[in-house]
Amino acid sequence: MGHPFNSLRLMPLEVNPGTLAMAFDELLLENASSGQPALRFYQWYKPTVSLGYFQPFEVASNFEGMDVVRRPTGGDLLIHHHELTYALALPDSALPSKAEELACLVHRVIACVLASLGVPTACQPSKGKLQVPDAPEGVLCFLHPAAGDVLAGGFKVVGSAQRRRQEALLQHGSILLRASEWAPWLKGVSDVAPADLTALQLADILRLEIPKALGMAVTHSDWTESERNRAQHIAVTRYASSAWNQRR
Amino acid sequence: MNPKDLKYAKTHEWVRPEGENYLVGLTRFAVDQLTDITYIELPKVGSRVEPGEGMGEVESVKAVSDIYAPVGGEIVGVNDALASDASLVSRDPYGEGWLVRICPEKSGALDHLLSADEYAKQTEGN
Repeated sequence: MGHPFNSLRLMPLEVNPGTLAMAFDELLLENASSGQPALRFYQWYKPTVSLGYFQPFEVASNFEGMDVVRRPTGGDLLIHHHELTYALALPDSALPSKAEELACLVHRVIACVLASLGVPTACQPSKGKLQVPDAPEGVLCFLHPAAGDVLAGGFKVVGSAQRRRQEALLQHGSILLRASEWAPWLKGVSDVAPADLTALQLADILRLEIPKALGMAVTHSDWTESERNRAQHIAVTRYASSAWNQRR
Repeated sequence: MNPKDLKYAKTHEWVRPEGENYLVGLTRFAVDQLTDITYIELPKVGSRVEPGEGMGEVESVKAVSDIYAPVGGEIVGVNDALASDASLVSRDPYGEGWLVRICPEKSGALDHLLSADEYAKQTEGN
C-alpha cells in the first residue's frame, strides 16, 4: 500500500453506520497486527447503542428503537449520537509499556485541546460513579468514569476502550459534543462550556496533536478498494449479525 | 518470580504437566499488566485447540485481550470457579486462578515453550 510502517497512517474523517464503524476499527487492528499503525476519526450515521464486548444484550432494551452493535472492546454501553469518535491501532512495538498508559496519553491530549478551545477539563483521578437522577442504573459507560477519563463541568465527556490482540492494540473512544435526546442525562463539551465545537474542528486539531504526543510522523491515506471490501465483509458477517450482537 | 517448574508461552500463558494433561494459566506478568480482571471467557470442555490459537478472552479495565492456547489438544477441564470470581486469576495466577486443562495431541508439545529464565528475559524491562 506504500505506507511506511514507522509512520502513523492518518485516515480522513468519515461518517459510518455503527456496523461498518466497528468493522473499520477491526480492520485497523488487523493492519496494526501486520505492523501498520493508524489513526482515524469518525461520526455515526445515526444514533446507535454500542455494547461492551462482555455486556449482556438485554441492557440495550433500555434504548428501544435505536440501532445496536456490540463492540470488539470492553467497557459499558455507549450512546453514540452527537460525538466525535477516534480509533487508534498500534503494533506492540509502538505501545507504551502498560497499555492503559495509552488511554491516559490520548485523554491528556484531548483534555489539553479542549482546554485550548475554551472547555475547562479535569482528569478523573480514580474509578468513580456520577450521580445523575433518572439515568438507567449501572449500564452507561459515561456514568462510570475510570481513572484518566476526561471530565468537563462534572460530566464525563471523553472515554475509551481497548482490544488487545497478539502484537497489536486497538483503542477507540468517544468525545461527547452535545447531549443526545436518547441520553439526556449525559452532557457534551458544548453543553458545559461556552464553546460550540464541531466534530471537524476538533478532528482537525487532534489529527495534529495525537501523532505529536505519540512522537510519530504521519502519512495521510484513505482506505483502499480492497480494504473497503474487507470492512464490508467484516460488517456483514460479524457486526450486523445477531449471532455476534446477541451472543451474551 | 516465575515458578521454575513451569513452561511459558511468549503470549504469557504458563503450562504445568499434570499426569497426561497440561494445566494452563496466565502468568503473573500478564495479570499485572491486565490489572483489574472483570470477565473471563474460556473454551468449552470437549473442544479442541491448536497451539497459538485464541482459546479465550479476558476483560480488564475496559480492555479485552485474547488468551492463546500454548499447546494443542482437547480441553478436558475448565476452572468453573472463574465464572463467578474472575479475580481469582489476579490473586493466585499459578494456583486457584488456573484456566484450563488440556490433553495434548502429541508428545513434545512443550518443546517450543520457554523456560522460566527465558520468559523472565522476554518480559524484563516491561
